[in-house]
Amino acid sequence: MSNKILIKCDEATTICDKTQYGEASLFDRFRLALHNFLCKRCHLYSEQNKILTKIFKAHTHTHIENHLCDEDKNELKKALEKELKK
Amino acid sequence: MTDEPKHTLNPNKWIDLHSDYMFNYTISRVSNHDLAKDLVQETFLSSLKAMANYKGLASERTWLISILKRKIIDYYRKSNSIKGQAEVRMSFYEDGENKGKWIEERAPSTWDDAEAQIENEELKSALDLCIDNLPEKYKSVFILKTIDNYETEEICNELDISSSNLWVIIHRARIQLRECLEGNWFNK
Repeated sequence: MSNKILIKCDEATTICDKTQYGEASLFDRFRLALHNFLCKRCHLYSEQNKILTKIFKAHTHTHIENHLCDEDKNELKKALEKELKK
Repeated sequence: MTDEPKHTLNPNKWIDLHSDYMFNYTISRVSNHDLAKDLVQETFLSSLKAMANYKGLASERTWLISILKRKIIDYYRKSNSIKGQAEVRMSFYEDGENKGKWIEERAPSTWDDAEAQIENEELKSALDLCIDNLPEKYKSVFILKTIDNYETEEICNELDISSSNLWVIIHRARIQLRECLEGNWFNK
């Protein structure tokens, strides 16, 4: 990454990603804020990135939706029994 | 002081009690039914062998899941070749006078009413589909970092990538997810 105050969109959006994980330095966050002030697209990207983070948090706990069918479970049971007998 | 009650293992009940949960956990991380089933089976078999090491501090399910997590990471490591995989389309100009700037067609559009929809169950389905469409190497890194909350250093060690590789991958994954959700949900 460059050490300049003014950065381009590709670097700005990467820094924005790091902030979502709490891993951007103070200097990076300053450069991002400055870039977003000057660049509407990246400002929008940053707003949407925060929403994305919220969406990921809201929806990535495990729901019990996917079941194994009985046939699959019986297969597993057989494999386990075979191993237990050893 | 009384001892903490220790958990016990009961392999005869494992499949009835835990197989659906474990399968569900796996399939959202490897996307393939048969592969998920195989990983669950391998986990049960390895767990049997490891029973002697169980100390009863974690619950049976927690313990089984920890072994399953290990299997999943091993799978990621095996299938995670950095070279030779389809690249995500670039969103920024790579050279010329516009180097580093958004490519017009790839720039973000506004999302209607996005904040209100965050909890929406159908959005979750759209998200699952979008995560599923990520190239393999992006999917594994994205899941480990964003969903399983592994530290950057841990992921880099496990998958043998540098931290700058990791951030490039996360960046591309998030851009692709952004676009996928924009196309399939927000601006439909």
